[in-house]
Amino acid sequence: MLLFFAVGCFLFFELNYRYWYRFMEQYSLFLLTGDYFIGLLRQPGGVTEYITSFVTQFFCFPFFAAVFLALFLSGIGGLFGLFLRRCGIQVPVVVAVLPVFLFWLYPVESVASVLAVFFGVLSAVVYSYCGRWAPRCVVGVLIVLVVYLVAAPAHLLAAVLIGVYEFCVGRSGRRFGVVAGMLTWAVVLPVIAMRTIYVIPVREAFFSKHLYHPEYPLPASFWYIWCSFPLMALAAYALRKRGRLFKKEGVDFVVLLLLLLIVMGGFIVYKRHPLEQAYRYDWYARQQQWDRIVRHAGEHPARDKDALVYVNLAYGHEGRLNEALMRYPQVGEEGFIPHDPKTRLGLIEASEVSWLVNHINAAQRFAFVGVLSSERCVQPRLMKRLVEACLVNEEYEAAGKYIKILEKTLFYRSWAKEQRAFFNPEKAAGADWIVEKRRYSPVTDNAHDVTIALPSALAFLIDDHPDNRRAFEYGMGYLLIYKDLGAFMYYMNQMKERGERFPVLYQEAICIFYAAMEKNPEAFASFGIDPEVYQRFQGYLSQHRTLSPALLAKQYGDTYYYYAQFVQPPKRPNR
Amino acid sequence: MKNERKRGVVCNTVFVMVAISLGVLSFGLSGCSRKPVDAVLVGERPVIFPDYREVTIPVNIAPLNFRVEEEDMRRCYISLEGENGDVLEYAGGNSIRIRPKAWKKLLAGNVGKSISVNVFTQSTGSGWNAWQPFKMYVSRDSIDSHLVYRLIEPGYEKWHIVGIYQRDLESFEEKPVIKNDMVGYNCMNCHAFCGGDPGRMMFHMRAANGGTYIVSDGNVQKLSTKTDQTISNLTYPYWHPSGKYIATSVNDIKQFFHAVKGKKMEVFDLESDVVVYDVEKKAILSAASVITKDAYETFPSFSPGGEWLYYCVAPALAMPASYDSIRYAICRVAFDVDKGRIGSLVDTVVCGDIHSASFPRISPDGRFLMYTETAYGQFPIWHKDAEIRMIDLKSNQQIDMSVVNSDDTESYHSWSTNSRWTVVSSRRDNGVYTLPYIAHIDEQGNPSKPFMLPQENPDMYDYFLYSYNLPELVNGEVTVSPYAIQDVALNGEAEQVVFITYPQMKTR
Repeated sequence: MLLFFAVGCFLFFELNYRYWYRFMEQYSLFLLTGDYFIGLLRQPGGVTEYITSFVTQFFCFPFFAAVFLALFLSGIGGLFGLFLRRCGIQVPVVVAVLPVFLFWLYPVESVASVLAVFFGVLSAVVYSYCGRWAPRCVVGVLIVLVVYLVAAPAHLLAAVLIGVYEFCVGRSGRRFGVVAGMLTWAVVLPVIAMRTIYVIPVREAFFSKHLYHPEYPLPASFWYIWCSFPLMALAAYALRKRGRLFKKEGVDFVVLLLLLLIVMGGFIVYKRHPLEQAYRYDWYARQQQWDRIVRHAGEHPARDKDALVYVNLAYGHEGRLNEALMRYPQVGEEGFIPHDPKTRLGLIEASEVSWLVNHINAAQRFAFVGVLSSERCVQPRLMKRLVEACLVNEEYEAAGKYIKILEKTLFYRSWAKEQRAFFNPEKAAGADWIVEKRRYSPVTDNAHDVTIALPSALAFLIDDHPDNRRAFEYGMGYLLIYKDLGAFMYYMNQMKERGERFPVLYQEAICIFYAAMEKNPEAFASFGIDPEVYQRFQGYLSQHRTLSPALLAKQYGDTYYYYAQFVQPPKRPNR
Repeated sequence: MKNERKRGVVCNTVFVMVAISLGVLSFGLSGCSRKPVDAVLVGERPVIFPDYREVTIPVNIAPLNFRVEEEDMRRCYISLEGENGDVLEYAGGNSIRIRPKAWKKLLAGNVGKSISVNVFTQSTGSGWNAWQPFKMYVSRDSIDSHLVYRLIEPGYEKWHIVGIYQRDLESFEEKPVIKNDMVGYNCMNCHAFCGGDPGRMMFHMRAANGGTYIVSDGNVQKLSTKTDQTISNLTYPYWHPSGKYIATSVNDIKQFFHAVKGKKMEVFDLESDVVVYDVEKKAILSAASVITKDAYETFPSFSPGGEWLYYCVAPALAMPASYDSIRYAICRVAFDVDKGRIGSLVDTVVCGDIHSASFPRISPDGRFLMYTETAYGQFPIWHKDAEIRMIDLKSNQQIDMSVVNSDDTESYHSWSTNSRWTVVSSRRDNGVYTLPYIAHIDEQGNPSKPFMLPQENPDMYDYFLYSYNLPELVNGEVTVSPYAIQDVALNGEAEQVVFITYPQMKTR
């Protein structure tokens, strides 16, 4: 049954949380330095964090996170089952894995939680194998101490489970003393640590700062998960004499197995991460696989703003934003870039979009904020962006600092080493991406925040470099979405003067502009409208009053003039 | 396995481990006397990090551990030879950690003299190189025992973990004074001490548990300092040497982000004034304050005798439109300690017509005025051109501080209580993270080459992602417990500061 559970764990996390854990890999940075190890060793729960950090760096590899979680969660289930048996409670494994299901219900960001629970249950099992009462108590005290230093707050779980064990198997006179003693020791220990070794807040002393983001309150799921083990043990102890559910031999096992499979199947099918699509796109973006985002979005429309930002970003990278803009629903400015971002994903997206439109300082700024606002103040992917931005801006000392850090990792090392070559001006001048970024870097200083005043920030970028295609496409996309055709035509006239060819979307907008606002619709002829575009527009003009809305949408739904006439523009974000 | 055999295995294992440990210890810590022979002379000084070549150091500073920056270096041998004949030797990798006891003895025996540092390196597949020796000069002047600073990510608009820490300069011990994770992850800033006295300090917290905190004789007060008559809470503080007053600015601070290369961020005031807070009366004194509509006043400080109030002032230009043309001068006005009021005549000490000046700090002996000069504005931390300047107040002459400055930002600075040392915030190492550099200033005001705050592990700065903000030298340990501050912050009620106008003061 444990094997079934392990397989279920693997499927659940692999199918539903694959990209979530790949995303979380970015928020940990395992350094191969002695100071990193010693620094963590000096914190309660630091060893668990060290292991977590080491393990997390492998989450980028296929199946790794799911295999790791499957092993450890089923390990917790197995150990808890063993613990129950040590307590004299004979229950099916399915009972032992019930608390572990809470990790399915509330998937954790950091596997430190899983490891801490594992250590907590393991230490209780170890304790249960200590024979005589007096040495067992001494071992218990030591176990709680060691587990506190290694895997706090697992010491609380260990102490409670030790108490449960003594309650179940101990002699009546002593057992309450041991229970009270262990619990008191587990509670007093962090207080002693606070007053002697550490200067840390109470929460960190008791619960460590590594399990959950210390700036936010402990989630309710923490209490559910951690309390479920002793509660389940006590409940099983209370019901230990109830006997089998079914009289016939083996039926219990089959029924419980079926129940387990049904529950696991339900979870696997229905419990998905709500932002799974955005995390998937973030992963593709990390790999520069913009075509995969485009392909996936073609089959699965963006479900949220974060995913939409990535879809627009992908089309922007592919140079096809103007071609695709009307093919999928837009939400306005926040579909291009998050508004005043504060979330992890939002800050990454803001940095990515700023980088695309060649606003290097903004890309650097959001990368920087993304690094320092993360739980551990590290974010290797954004550190890479900081290196790139520093190289473009010729801030070599700062680039060197981040490179040095990344060189101490297992998987960012080779990339970091490669960047050192660009400290050489000749090498940098030969790197296309640096040349492009330097070429389109802003010239005119301005204070417009690209996430708060996107059109103004883009206008400066375009005015500085009219051939900055990425910024231009984003800028025109913005104007078209909000139907600001007056400003749009200002840029079209500039394009015309430069003798550039107009993409179909722009041609459609020019057509509708002249048809709707100019007295002379023929004036657009000077813009070099393609005959096909012109004919389709003429068709639209002649049919749009006669065709049914559904048919009109089917025939012209991908055109700008249809959007201009029938689609309500999104509300602008509050400034 | 028989018991005898088991015992044998255990004994052998223990013996081998002890032998290995002793070997490692003797090789790594005490160094060895295997001075390389037949080394090839290199006509240059070795590149080391931090750069401690030709620096003047206080006799009571912690070991200046450093790393030799030689590519492909396999081994190195280093000897520190004092003029008195004492020698410290090290052999091993490129990271040199000097034993504190031996270092103390070496410095004590060479006060007023120099220590010659000889570096030999051996690269992979080649023989030994002998680099040109460099010197460290051991000053007779000791430095205050502790440095208090805020550690903060040098971010733009977000902070995560912020803390005010104290570092024992005679060792490597660093302790928190207060950390924001203990008080709701708020922002804490602007710590200031009365004449370098660790027992009298103040700082602010913003957002959660916000207020101004004054620590005096172990007691912690929490104050709410915004009044109807002042623009904001108290901001940039400076204690009066008597401990009776604190001059601070009140500022309406704003910021924006640049779009172009070479510039990151601008911090400016929409309004600002200088006020004086009476610590005993818990009141802001209007008669001692410089509150004007047509000028921005900020960054006050007192002269060591307390008879002058210095501050930065600029005409109230429209902001942010004029952010790059506003220039601050340093002025001073007489301050009557007994009456708690300022005079009416304002002297201009540093003009703000070509450059802008901020952070005026007078040496405790009253001889020198140190300040930061930048092209414009009063918040130079993001200005690469910002440099330390110093005026000899006796002769009113500028002193050449070029040895203290670098190509990157130099901003905040503080004096030691004996006026012979200054700590300067600088971004010279990497352009982003501010680190403290200590420089000797002799009696005539001649500065020496500054040296980076030493760390036990010289690689520490490589992986450190915090800035040392507002380094302040204090002549002892701050003994107030972080938990005492935490208790007041979390449970204490902030006492409201009052604003006393001049007639009220007369009647009190």
